[in-house]
Amino acid sequence: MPTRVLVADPVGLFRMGVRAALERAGGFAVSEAGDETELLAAVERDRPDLVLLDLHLPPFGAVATLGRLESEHGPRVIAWALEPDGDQVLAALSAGAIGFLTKDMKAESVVRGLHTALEGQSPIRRSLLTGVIGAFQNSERRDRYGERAIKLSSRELEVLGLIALGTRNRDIAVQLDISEFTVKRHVQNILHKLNVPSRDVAAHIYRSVFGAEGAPQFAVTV
Amino acid sequence: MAVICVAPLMAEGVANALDGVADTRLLPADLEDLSTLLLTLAPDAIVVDCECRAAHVHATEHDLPLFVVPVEANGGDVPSPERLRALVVGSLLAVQVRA
Repeated sequence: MPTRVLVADPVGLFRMGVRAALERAGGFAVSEAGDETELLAAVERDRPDLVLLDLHLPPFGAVATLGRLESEHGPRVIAWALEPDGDQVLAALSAGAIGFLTKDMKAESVVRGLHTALEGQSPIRRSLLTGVIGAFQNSERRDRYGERAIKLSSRELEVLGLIALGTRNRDIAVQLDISEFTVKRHVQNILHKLNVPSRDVAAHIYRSVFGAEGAPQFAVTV
Repeated sequence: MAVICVAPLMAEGVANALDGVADTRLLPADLEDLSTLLLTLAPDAIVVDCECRAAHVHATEHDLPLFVVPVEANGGDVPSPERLRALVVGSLLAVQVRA
């Protein structure tokens, strides 16, 4: 019995190429979907063993689609893209993809990846691993820092945000309409709560959590 | 017809779409000295799935149709197999009429 593979990709020419390559390799029954709606219908109808899922599948991309597949259905999904970065690969894997390939792979390599998946293993292109490890480490660091940052009050987050932008105490006082003494007190509290020795380190944590120029999108009051 | 691609599966899709319409030569985009190869092959049209300077220069210098079919849509419009086929047939007919 052939392995049922669903190719979900908005580019018809690419789907056609994948279908031709898999049918030439033999042992695969291929179906196609151009967007998430078609994919969900095809999963229901064809019960594929494997799904090759484009990272940018309309309308919301592979990560969103994986969320729906996980809850409603259950084929094994291999995501892929042309030049994905580590964060994208990690996001897809975290959302439930069992592997990640790149679209510039030769047909034989893709077929090998599918066989790897059928054996219960995770096909991941070697060139992606460094990026994935980097993304994982950054994500862990962000989580750790985020746990510490959440202890800050909304006012302390405001102060820290300005520190991260390189603002001096005197200017922070003016911007927030408080005394410089109060700013210093906030800074002491921030250093204590984050358990860091200096405002530079606190600023680094802020930038790691909220991005280089990002102000917090939420305010937490302790 | 030269099909120059970074993604071999895309090249295969293009070749399938143009089956019976054109003889296709599939060329990897990172091939060394692509310009010389294009001169030797002398295609009637070129299809690329990427930014390919050699293809652009050759198409411009020889007044050839150049079709761009990106591997990823990125919100843009990638021709369907049927549309690419129609475009290629139309452009080849136009070339014949001009000749």
